[in-house]
Amino acid sequence: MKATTLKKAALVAGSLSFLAGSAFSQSAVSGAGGYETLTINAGKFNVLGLRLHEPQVVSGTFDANTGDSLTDNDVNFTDVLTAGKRYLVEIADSGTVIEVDAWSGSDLTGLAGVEAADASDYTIRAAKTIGDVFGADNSAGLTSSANADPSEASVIYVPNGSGFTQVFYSTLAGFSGWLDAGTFADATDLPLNYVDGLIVNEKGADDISLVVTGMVKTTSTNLPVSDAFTYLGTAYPVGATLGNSGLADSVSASANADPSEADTVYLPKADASGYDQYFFSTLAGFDGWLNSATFAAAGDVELTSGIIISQNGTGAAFNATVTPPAFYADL
Amino acid sequence: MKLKHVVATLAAMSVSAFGASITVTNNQGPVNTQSVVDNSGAAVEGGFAAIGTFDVAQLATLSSGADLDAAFSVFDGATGTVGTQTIFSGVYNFSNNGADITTTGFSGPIHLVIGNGADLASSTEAAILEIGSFPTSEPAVSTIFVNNATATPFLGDFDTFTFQPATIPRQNPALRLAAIPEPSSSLLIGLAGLSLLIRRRR
Repeated sequence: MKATTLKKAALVAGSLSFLAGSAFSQSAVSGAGGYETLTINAGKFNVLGLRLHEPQVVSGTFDANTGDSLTDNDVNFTDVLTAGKRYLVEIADSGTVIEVDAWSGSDLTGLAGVEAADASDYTIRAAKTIGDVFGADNSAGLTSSANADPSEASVIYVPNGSGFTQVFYSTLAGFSGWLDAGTFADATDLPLNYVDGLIVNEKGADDISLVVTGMVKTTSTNLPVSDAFTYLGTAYPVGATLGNSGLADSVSASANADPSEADTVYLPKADASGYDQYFFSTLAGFDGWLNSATFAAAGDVELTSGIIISQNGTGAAFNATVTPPAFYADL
Repeated sequence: MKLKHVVATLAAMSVSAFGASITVTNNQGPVNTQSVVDNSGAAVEGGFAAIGTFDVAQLATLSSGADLDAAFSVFDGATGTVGTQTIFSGVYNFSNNGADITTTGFSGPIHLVIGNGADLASSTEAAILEIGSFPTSEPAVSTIFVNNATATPFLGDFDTFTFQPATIPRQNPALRLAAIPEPSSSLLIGLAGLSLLIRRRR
């Protein structure tokens, strides 16, 4: 898998400005946008992340919270959000991303893991869907099945908290479109959270170029790392490295320059043949980000769109906070 | 059978495919690395390492590197060299090709085989260890750090030698390769019995 350079012309010009068109002053947003091309290697399992995002729908400041709700008295969410869609609430200060599927008036409801600190500045954007990213008609060109048989088709693995939801494209009459490989339900609108990494197993003979469009996020992002291997997206389309990502502040380091003692960051190789592994060391003379195999300094290694973090350190789940490169402040 | 039932059955049979990426290494840095050493205690340079499945039943009758090679099946191209990497000696770090594991036929224990030659067939000393199990769940990525706490040797031994892997003064256990042919337990018992018979006849 290879991430090509974001087309900076579009990015810098901010030519893709989206206006939510709402009567609420908080909801008019714009920003830099563009596209990037991700390579899906044929015959491989490709770890991808979504680094360009849907435009902001609304932003403001939450006035109150409970354990499963957030309230902004200045906004009627029923008016600005579309029922049936998933939205992502981004807490500006912490970088926390909360999925929201339900709301009523000024309340976002049914939320998981709300903390008091979340009652602060926020923005909301829609989550991309399978159809948004790969095309409702599979315009991305992943290998499909004429028999609605996922073993014949390319499979997209979407993390669901307890494993993966597997999605494939079928052209069989009566079973056509993006389907959940477990239930055969329509998966076109399956929401994708950009903090998660996707895995695409392309069954065809040729590599595929996947063009992802959207807006650039300019605030920090918490990537939730479970107690084992976690597939993650890296949120920022260009310029993010191990060194400037801020990951060193979140992951467990090794005082002995021993990768078995530290959390390991796996970056997929460009041809998806495997992974380069990195860890953070505090041992004098071997300090900083290091390649786990060669122990070469790795602070300048660019983050791929999708990564894996292996919890080798404390053994406890944690948030790996990634921050945008400094120049994003000018976007 | 209705079409949707046929489709559902096919799906149930087919969605178990997944890819596996397994990295195996003893390179745990300047402090904790447990190097591979030969039978004299010197770090192995130019050796061979691979993971796969070893036919443990053949262990008792190994008499050459060729025997070892014949009893071992490599998993998905997962081979590497043993030698000096960066400043650490007697180390290895390699991965398989990330293939769909259902097409490789590997399951059960993962065996690590190390030889002192460029390949197993040309090796005169070797080690065979069980270091874990092949994955059984959906897309799997793992790194196995091989040391005396994580591996079970069938041939070769940890702890017999200590070795300083790098510039930081620290003596660690090392994995000592054993000579091939390695006298099997049964052969040793047979030899012991023969010696007793000879003594009795004197």
